[in-house]
Amino acid sequence: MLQDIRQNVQGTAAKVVVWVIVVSFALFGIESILLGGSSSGVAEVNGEEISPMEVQQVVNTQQRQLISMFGENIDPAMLDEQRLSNQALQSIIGRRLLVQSATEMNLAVSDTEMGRLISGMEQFQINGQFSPELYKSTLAQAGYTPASFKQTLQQDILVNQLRSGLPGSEFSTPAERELAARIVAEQRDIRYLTVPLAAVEAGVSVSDEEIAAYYNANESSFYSDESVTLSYIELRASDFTAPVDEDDLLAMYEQEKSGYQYQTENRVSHILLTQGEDESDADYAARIADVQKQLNEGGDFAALAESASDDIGSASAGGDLGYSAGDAFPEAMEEAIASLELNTVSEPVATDAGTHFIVVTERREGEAPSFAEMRPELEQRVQERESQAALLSTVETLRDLAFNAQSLAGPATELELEVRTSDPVTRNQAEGLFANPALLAAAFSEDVLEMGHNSEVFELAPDHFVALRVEEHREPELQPLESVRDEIAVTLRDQQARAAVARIAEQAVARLRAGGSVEAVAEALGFEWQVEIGAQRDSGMLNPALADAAFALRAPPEGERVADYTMTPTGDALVYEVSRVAPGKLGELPAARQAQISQLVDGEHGVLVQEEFRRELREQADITVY
Amino acid sequence: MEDYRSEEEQVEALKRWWDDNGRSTLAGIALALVGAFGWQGWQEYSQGQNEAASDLYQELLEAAAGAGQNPAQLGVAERLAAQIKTDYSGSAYAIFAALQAARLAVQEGDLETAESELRWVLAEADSGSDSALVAQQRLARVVASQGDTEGALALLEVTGENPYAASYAMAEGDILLSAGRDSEALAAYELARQVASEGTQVPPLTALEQKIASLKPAEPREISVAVSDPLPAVAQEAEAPADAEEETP
Repeated sequence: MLQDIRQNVQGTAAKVVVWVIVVSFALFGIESILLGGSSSGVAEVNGEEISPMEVQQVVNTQQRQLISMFGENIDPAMLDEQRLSNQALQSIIGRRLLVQSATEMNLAVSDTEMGRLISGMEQFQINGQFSPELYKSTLAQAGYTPASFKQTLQQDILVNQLRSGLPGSEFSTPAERELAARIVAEQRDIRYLTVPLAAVEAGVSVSDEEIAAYYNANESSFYSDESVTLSYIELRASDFTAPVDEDDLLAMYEQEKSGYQYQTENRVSHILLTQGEDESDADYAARIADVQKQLNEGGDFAALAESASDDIGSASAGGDLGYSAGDAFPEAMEEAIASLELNTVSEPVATDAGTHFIVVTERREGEAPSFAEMRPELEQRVQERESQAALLSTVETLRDLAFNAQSLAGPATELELEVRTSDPVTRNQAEGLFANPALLAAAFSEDVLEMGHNSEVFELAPDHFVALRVEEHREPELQPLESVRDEIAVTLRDQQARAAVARIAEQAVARLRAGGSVEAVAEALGFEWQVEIGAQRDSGMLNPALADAAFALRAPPEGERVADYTMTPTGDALVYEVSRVAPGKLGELPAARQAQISQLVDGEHGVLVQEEFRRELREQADITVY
Repeated sequence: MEDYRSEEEQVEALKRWWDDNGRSTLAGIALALVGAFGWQGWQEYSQGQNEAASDLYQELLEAAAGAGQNPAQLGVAERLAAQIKTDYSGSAYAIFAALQAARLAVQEGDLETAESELRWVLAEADSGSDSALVAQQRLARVVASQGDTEGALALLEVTGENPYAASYAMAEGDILLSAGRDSEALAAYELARQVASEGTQVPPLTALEQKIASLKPAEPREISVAVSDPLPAVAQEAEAPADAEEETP
């Protein structure tokens, strides 16, 4: 063997191999050779794996956040693992790219800086002081180990430094601020009158012919929703409440009385003498007798415990062992404790630990409430327990019976339950029992709707179960004119009223363009008018529809006016006139507004740089999703 | 193949081999050790340098965050930036520090300093790197703000694929619009908006939208109604009491 190696090492190729091994061990350690190449990730970003656990952690966090936002009745589709894990994976990839880019730029975080940051975080502090215990427990609650938390924090800092370096060092030059102010803070004098929809609504009338014509022209929008009528069995624990046997209550009372909180508690001190390994029986007995003698002579128990007791734990506390409700100490001790008078020293008591002298220093007599006092509470508890048990056993039987039955009536009769019938339920039912997403999904599922099977028995809450089947399925059908007449009348009236408002608005604009003032035109037509001098796009003083329209309009030449109108979403018309247009001047704006404009400009540059940087990273990267 | 008849012969052969090759073997091992430890040492040294630069840069960021309100903080930030640039030149932190210094200078209205910081970044950073491309775009904006429109526009011309096309286009739009070249500005802004809209994480760009809107004003709508046309019945009813009120006093 040795000889073979010696001979083979002579070859140049072999020497090269040996040196490659030597050097690689020296540089990278053994693990790079033994552990390379195994793969279990869900994706790879530039050769770095993303593990399924990592994705799962993000998905879990996301689910918790969604549930706390939307409550327990959340649509299960929103919690869909597949959808969430795709999102999670994309965000992890994005972050991984940033971390890699930071690492490639040799960005780093020192341990001192990490320590400074962690100890400065308020959630780890008690009274302004960093607490290592709080640190560990807070991390554990959030699902981190100190190592994984440090790594996450370190990556956060790296990504933050990278961000501060490129998009975060964005600015706005004086010229850009002037330019932005010119447009963002532009002022226009706007006079306008309002033609409210309400003013014309009353006068609009819709004829039967118009309704019929509209019905015929828009038939497709008058189909009823697809619906199902369900028969269902609903089980609640409260339906199973039965009278309680008095004997049961008494038995429970007895059990309750002997329960922990009604026990007599004794506070106990002791002096323990333990035979040493090289101590003879005689010496040990003498030691016990000595302590006994001192106690008999009225020696102070606490002082003696401190000097003589072999129980290091209690000796310095005067032998104090704390409270026992009869189950804390060995049986021999508890027996002695139970029979002891308060503040009297016991005879020596032998246990496995050695010989004890015991004193009861405090006694709390436990007293149980009377049966009459406890009865209502006990009765409720027994009833709840029994009705819940009855409910669950009925549910189990129902599950078996309903699975095979051709209807719900059979199982219901057998179990003496009631089958109820629902009102028609639509696919997007929003009210009542069947708005529950699980029940709704079941009612329209292939199994229940098309095959006509009973649904499974759904648990809506621990004390609330429902099983259902479809009795009647109504496809969408054209509703007769009579049942949609009112609906059409409302639509048509609204349309006509809006058209009337628009005609009045056009008339008003025509009058304004013919030279009338807003005041005169408004008065002639009988509407309110208002004026906003020096209005700005986003000052919030104008109706948003008016602000959009009035600032989008080409500015009139100096000294002239331009008139137009716009409709609000609610159907009012705003007839307006723009007279003076003044570009915004940065220097004339209040300091806060100037700061706001400067932030607006550098913010938008920063957003673009950030987005383009990110996109560039993604395009350059080698990303594989398995 | 050689054959050794006894242990002694084997030992003898080994000794001979050692006499011939021992020195070079030891030298080889020593060299490998020196190489390995040297490499590790170098790694540790440069990691230490990076961490020291990082600590200073964190301090710089903190000082810069307070610089708007507190002139003393501004001084601290400027001093730290200068220190990082000299002590750790060649590191990404030096580039970032210069970019931060440029930002602070623009904030203070000191465009000359901003220009020289940005030119420093252009000289230091690898050409074509993110930092260089971003610095060049910012330099153009600073130059434009100093009044040199043509110089600024020249800086914004990048040959070949530019990953920062949207930010360049937005800067160009601002420069052109400030110079009164409205139609060219509109084209640049629209390019910026188009590139930005391809992104997934871009929030609405209010100022950009308003600039585009101001360059594409809406014309007043045509009105077909004449002043003399009758009003819809309802409105005339509304008109009547208004007239009546006027006549009462």
